[in-house]
Order: sequence, then structure tokens, then C-alpha cells
Amino acid sequence: MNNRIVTILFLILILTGCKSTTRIDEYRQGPTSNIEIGDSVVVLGRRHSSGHETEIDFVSCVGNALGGGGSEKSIIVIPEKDFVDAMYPYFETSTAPMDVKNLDHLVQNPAIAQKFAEFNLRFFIWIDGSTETTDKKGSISCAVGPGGGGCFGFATWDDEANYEASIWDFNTLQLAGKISAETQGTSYLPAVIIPVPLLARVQAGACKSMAQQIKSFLQ
Amino acid sequence: MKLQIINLSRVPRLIFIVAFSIMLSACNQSLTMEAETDVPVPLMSKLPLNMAVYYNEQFRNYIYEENSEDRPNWAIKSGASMVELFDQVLPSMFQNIDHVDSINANTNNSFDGLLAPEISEMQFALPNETKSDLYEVWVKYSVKLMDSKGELVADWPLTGYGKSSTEFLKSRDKGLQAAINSAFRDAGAKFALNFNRVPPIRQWLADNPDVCNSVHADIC
Repeated sequence: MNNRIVTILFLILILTGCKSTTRIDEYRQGPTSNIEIGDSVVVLGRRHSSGHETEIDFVSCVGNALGGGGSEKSIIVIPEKDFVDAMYPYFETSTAPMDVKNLDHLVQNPAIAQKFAEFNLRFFIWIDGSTETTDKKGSISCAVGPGGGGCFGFATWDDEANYEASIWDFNTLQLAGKISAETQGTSYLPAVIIPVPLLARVQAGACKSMAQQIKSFLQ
Repeated sequence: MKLQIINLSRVPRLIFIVAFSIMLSACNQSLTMEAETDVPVPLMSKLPLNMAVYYNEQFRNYIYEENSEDRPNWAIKSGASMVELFDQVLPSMFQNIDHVDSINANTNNSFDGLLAPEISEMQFALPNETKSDLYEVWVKYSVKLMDSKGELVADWPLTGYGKSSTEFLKSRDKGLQAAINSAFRDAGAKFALNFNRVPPIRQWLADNPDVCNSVHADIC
């Protein structure tokens, strides 16, 4: 009977415990013409802040989600590293344009303008933000000895993902809009001999939601 | 067919020895590594200049060394990577670039100018020192430019900064390597973009008719 109660409680914990919530905000600067077949976008991470840097895997996750699917609605996405390497030294952390108006200055350089044309670039998507652990509770103790080892305890932590995507329209050299994603979630780690992580996929949730919103913004 | 018999009673002892070895190696703070660089070819319009570059011995063989309580026996060989960095960037900036073996090699108008980068210092910050999730690297150079008569035109500081985030199972060596490469990229980018913005260099370029008759006429 007791075992059944423990199992039910454990299942409830799995089903409800790792729930994460996402809030998406969209700001559109003005009427934007939709992306056309053959146009491409590049998703880039902002890393100029001293306190945090937008994770490479988050940027590639958004890029993959935008370009994935192989359907007629998928968008051509230039991988961040390919773009930054091809445009070196203009899109490094310390040299990248911080404002859409600076793009106008860049395209006056014929070599840069030609490279943009080769990429058939239509939109720049700049992502700024990070995922952080905001709170930790509980503890787990582990011991290893000649006879074996194991862990016992319970830990929980809250993660928060905050990202903002600024969309620059290369045709008009204007800010097309901004999309922000805020995801919060709690993860649990119960341990009875073996730790069983029940992780809230906060960053993955923010990535998926942001990519969906960007897709609908562009199409 | 030969059967292998494993003594199961030895398995926990083996696990204990392996775990103990891992713990001991994790406490080893010494570091010996060779910095690597992965700097792309810059997308630049070349200045119509015939230039020379001189790397002194200290620059070519630079090793960051430290032996303190927190960083015992640290040795990061960076000379070869720094030469590689400038050898990657300079040919994209100038029509012609040759290596010379003396800083005084340009006294008879052989070249329009001679560049001599020198390393001033390197600094490192580890996540446990700054209470952040970042490995950080600063590299500071002093770059000299001599004209066709061997006279000093400019000697300006060039700083590159790079950082790399700590990730799950990312080793200290890999974190530092990524931050060093990022600092080298940053230094190369700043050198390429700011070269003609340094006032004495801009004036030196403006005095050259070949530059004024090229796509870089805006300098003049």
C-alpha cells in the first residue's frame, strides 16, 4: 500500500514538478514585407556584456528551429559561425554593429556589400540574453567506499531564461521588430542511492517559443 | 575457447582506485598548454603598400609563465599562435608583406613601412576567481610602425579580450583555449579595423599618393 502511495506521489512529481512557463512579447516597428523564397536570415548572439553572454547553443537552437523541417515554410538560415567567419573582422563581439543604422555604414564597403549579396541576406536576428539559475534549495550527500557508493537527499533549483531578439530588415535598413521570451521552470533531483534528475527544459522551451514567434513574424 | 574468470570481489576496489585517481588529478592545478588560433582571413580592401613585418625573438617564442599558489607551474606557449595571427591578418591589409629579420631592415627605402608587433602582457581570469561563469583572457601588444627611412611613425597599444563560458564537462584547458582564441580574434579584428584610425598612421597614409589614388582615398 505504502509503495503504491510513494509511486503515485513520484509520478505526480514528475508530471507536475518540471513544468515550465513561457511568456512571449512581440513588438512590431511598422508594416514589414514578408520574407520571400530564396531570402536568407542570420541568427547572431550578442556577447558584449561583461556579466553574461548569449549561449552559442541557444543561438544555434533558434537557427535550427527556424530553418528546420524541410517544408516550404522553412527559412534559409546562415549558421552563426559561418557568417561571422566570412565577415571577419566586422561581426566580432567588439566590432559588430550595435544599431541597425551602422549597417548602412558597413554596406558602403564594396567587399561587405558583395558578401551580403552572396548570402542573399534579408534579415539579421540579434539575440541577447541568457539562462540562469535563480534559486537552489535542498542538498544531496554522496559517499563512495570500497564496498560501494550511493547518494541520498533532495535538491531543487529554479532556472530562468530571458532572451530578446531584435530583427533588422536589411532591405529597409530599419529595425523591423523585437521579440522577447521569458521562461521559468523548476527542476528536481531526488536521490535514493541513485540521483534521478527531473529537469525543466527552460532554455529549450524559450528557444522553441522564440523560434515559432520569429517564424510567424517573418512569414 | 578460453574462458576469462573475473574476480568480482576486486571490482569495488578497482572502482575505488579509479575514483581516487580522478580526484587526485582534478586537484592538480599545474598547466602546460600551447595556445591555438583560428582566425579567419579578413574581408578587407588592401592598402597599396609594400610592407615588412618583424617579429622579435621574445614575440615568436612567448610563453606565459606563472608559479603562484593558485597557479602553480603555469606555462602557456603563445608565440607561434601570435605569429600565425599577424601572418593571417597582414596579407589581407596590404598589397605585399615580407618578413624581415631585423627592426632596422627598412633604412634604404626597401619597403613603404615596417611593422613590429611586440607582446606587452597576457592576463587570465578563471571562473572561481571572478565568481562568474567565464574564462577570460586579455592580450596586450605594442605595435610599432616605421616609415621607409626607418623612422618611427607610431607605437600604439593593441588589446584583445576573449571570454568563454563554462559548460558542463568543459575542462579548464578547453575553456582557456577558447578564451585565448577569442582574444586573438579580437586583437586581429581591432588591428585590421583601427590601423588607419590611429592619427599618426592616418597622416602617414595620407602622405602616400598611391593610397590617395586607391579605394582608400577617403583617408587623404
